[in-house]
Amino acid sequence: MNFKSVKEILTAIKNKDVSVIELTSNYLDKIKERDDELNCFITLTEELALNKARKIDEEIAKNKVRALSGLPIAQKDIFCTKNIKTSCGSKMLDNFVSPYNATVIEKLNNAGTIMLGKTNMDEFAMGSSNETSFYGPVKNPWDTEYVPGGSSGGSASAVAARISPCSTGTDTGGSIRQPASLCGICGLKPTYGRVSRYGMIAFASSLDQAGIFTTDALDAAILLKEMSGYDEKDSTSSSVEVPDYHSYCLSDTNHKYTVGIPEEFVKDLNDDVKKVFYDSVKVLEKVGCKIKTINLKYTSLGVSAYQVVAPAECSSNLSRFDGVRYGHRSDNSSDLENLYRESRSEGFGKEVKRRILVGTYALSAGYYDAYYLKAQKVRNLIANDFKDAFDQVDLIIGPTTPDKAFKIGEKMNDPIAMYLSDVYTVSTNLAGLPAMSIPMGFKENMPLGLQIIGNHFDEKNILKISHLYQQETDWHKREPGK
Amino acid sequence: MDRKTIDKLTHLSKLSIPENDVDELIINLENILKLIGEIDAAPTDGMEPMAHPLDFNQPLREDKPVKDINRSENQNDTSKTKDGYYIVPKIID
Amino acid sequence: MWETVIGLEIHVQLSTESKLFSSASTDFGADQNTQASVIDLAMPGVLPVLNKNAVDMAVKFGLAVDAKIARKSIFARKNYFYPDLPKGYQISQYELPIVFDGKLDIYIDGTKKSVGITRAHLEEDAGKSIHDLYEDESAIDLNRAGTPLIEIVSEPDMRSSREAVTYLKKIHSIVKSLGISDGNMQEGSFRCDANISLRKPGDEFGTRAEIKNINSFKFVESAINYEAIRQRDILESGESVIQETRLYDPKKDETRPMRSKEEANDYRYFPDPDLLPVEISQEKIDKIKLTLPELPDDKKDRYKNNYGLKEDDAEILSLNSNLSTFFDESIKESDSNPQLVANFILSELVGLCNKHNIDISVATIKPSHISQLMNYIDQGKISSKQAKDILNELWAGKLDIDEIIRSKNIEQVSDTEILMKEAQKILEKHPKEVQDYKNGKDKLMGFFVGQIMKEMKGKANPKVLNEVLNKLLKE
Repeated sequence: MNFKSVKEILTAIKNKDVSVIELTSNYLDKIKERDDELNCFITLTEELALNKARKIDEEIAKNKVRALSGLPIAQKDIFCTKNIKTSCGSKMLDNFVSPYNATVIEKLNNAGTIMLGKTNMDEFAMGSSNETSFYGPVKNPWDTEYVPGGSSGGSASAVAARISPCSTGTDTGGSIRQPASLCGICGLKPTYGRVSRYGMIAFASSLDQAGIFTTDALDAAILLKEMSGYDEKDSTSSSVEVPDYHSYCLSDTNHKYTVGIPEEFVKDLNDDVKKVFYDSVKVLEKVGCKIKTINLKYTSLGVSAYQVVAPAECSSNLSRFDGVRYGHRSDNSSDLENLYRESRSEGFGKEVKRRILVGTYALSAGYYDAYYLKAQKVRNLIANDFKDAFDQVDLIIGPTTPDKAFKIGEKMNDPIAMYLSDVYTVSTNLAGLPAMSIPMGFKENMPLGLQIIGNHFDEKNILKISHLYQQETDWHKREPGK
Repeated sequence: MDRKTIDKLTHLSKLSIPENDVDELIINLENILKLIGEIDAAPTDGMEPMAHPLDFNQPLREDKPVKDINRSENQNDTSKTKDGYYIVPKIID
Repeated sequence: MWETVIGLEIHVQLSTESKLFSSASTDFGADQNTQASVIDLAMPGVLPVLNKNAVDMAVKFGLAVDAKIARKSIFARKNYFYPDLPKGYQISQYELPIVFDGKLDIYIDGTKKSVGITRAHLEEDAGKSIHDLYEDESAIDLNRAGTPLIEIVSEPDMRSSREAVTYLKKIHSIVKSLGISDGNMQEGSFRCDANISLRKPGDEFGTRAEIKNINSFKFVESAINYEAIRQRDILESGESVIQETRLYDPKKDETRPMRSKEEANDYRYFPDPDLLPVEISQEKIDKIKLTLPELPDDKKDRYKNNYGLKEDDAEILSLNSNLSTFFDESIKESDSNPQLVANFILSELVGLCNKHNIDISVATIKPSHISQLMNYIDQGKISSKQAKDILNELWAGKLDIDEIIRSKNIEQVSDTEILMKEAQKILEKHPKEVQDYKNGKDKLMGFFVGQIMKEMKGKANPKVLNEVLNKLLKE
């Protein structure tokens, strides 16, 4: 059993070429075979998956077919899943069983997906290498000495290793696109507000956005439709209509896209990455795109502004983890102050604590204007930059990451180097724009990603140009170890 | 960034930092402050602070109570509760 | 000579059905934590959605105090840790409150005084910590967490506890008239923090102390009076007042510093990224304006102009919405002079309420009882003294006035014919006194009345009896 895509799986199930129970068992077996090494999953929901698979099989037998009937999926452990451990990669929530479902989970469950398990991630999504997880680092299936990227490292690695056909992720500063790039798969971060954040454990509320990992753009199109839409439980979700992305990608309308390459995205690239990137530009020209050099002159400020806004919001978002109602409570809690301090200090890892402290600093009296307020103004500069750019071009491209994956441990003690690896991804979060990383080639046998950024709610054209590109290339078909 | 600032920040954020980690933390935080300090020079005169990526307004919910609360589900971590209350060490006020 | 400077921050629980940011019910008195939803409990991943009705109520309040309504207001997070605050922050409004720049006129001995209302903002209430339930632990009930409040902040415009209490009562009356709060002070739906400082008249404001969470009008008065004396003593001994938060202890009638000092708290307010700016259109404001009910000042004018009530009575009634509702109901069914009805309610009924510490709205005596009593007095069926006796019986739980009159056998005789017969009998018994009266000894009228009353066990209607006697003695 070797399906190449979500699309193939859905067709096979619908045509009763394969039973959902067979398919699900097959993926569970693959996970069991590979995951000791890769460490993609924190929790495997085997029994639940098999029960649901049987239920969907019964439905299929009666010709009741839902949009994603029988599709196995791995869910990032940041999404609350009712009666299932939801850890967010942290010791703080190692004992937390959510009493409710996130909207994304609810929607995907209702669409007929089979959840295989909850995937490993950087603690509270804070990290770019999946090394801050309480559950240990995830390995990159292309070379297990390398990181898969983060924070959605488990989800990315699982899809890259083909032990799950698709998975969910979240992206606050690149946490979908960067691991997609480093693992050689597609990772889509939709427009802020496109997908409900309800039940997705918040890192930085004004930046967080849920998205997906798949092997190709069409699969992403299929899944995005099912995840998206206004949710009355999320005030920041958008009521902009959700198009049928998949049929749009396949439609004949032959767009002659004008594609911008920001000088700031390419000027510091090393030769290998530069070459791979410009090869992909040639492919885009071949499919009819017009290439234009543009400027996003505040790109270099993106990481700095991001490292104010994200920690500021996280310092407040993570206050609820106080050991009182759920989560880790220290044994050493003789009085209230100890209960708070010890529970939080034992429950949170180093990186999370660092960000809470930076955020607390940026919001504190006397520093608010210089840091938080200033960063929010810079954010506006960056957003305006993009706005001007989208007056000239339809889409913006660049490499997703400055380089291929790095080795596990390489940047662990250098937070600044880690932060700077997000340089091409954070600014789209600050501006709330949709962006996707798709495979564009290799450097020293490790994959590299092409980032495509679109205007607000223009996921359909990101997906379409990706599909056009993927019809001309086979990078997305490459599998590790083959 | 110094010991005193760390104490203030850990007090506000209810964290405690093991003595052994303080020096390393101070260095890391100083580097981070240097990085984020780069925004200082940005030409933001006349720029509005941007709190949200999208420019829309707060939707409003109808004032209808929904009776869907299941206390025992919410309190599935029974180590923290007693008789339906959450329990903390005695607070002396 | 010191001048007391007072500003009040009033927290008013809004009477919405559901909470400010969740759909959990706001009913009072449910089992602990059964009205705390996953949102109120701050479960990981939950998000707030704003209650429309709470916004409308805040706008109503703003319109009632001549305030500006922010066309765009922002929710912010106030960050601090406490077990009754599940998120570790309170969602409140900071830089752009929904209501600002209002004012309220109060009357002290008929003299108008304007108190500025700096702002009124929407925020969520905290839960409750219970410290006396278990020996070594505090218990947390989060049912109240997330209940909508408006916090009404005044300018430091008041100069005496009397002004402060009058202002407070007027705000209380306004929120009750508007129907945006039950104003129940015992249950904590209406509570107040008082900022108090002293200065020499004309000087800059002095350092203030904040007295937290005072929940009765009387305590506000006592707390301010106590605090003014405390600060005066400090200043006169050459020391300075320290800026601090204090609590009022009604048992000892004193204020004392809070032990758990909010040491140099830095709340790190910032706009809540989970919530978007709240926009209120002029159309919406205009629409809400049309729904405003009669407010205390209008009510006072009505009482004075339409019913001819005395200034003081009109003021007292208009400042207490339960009382004015009771009064309005009472005069609806009664043909009596409204001032007499007001007198009866304000002196007799309010007296009973105060004595028993019961609010008029929950007393067993209803406006219909008062109408009936007033009508009976008017018709001469009972005397006003008897009306008071009946009121006491009603208070004690007997609820049928006619029944009380029968059982106590206190119905007045107003029938001219009966009284004529009784009078004739007495006059015939006392020919000498009749002659003396006719010769100018007017005082004897009292003697005749007394004799007849004695004979009739006091049931004669004095007014009719007088008329009858006059008539007979003229013959």
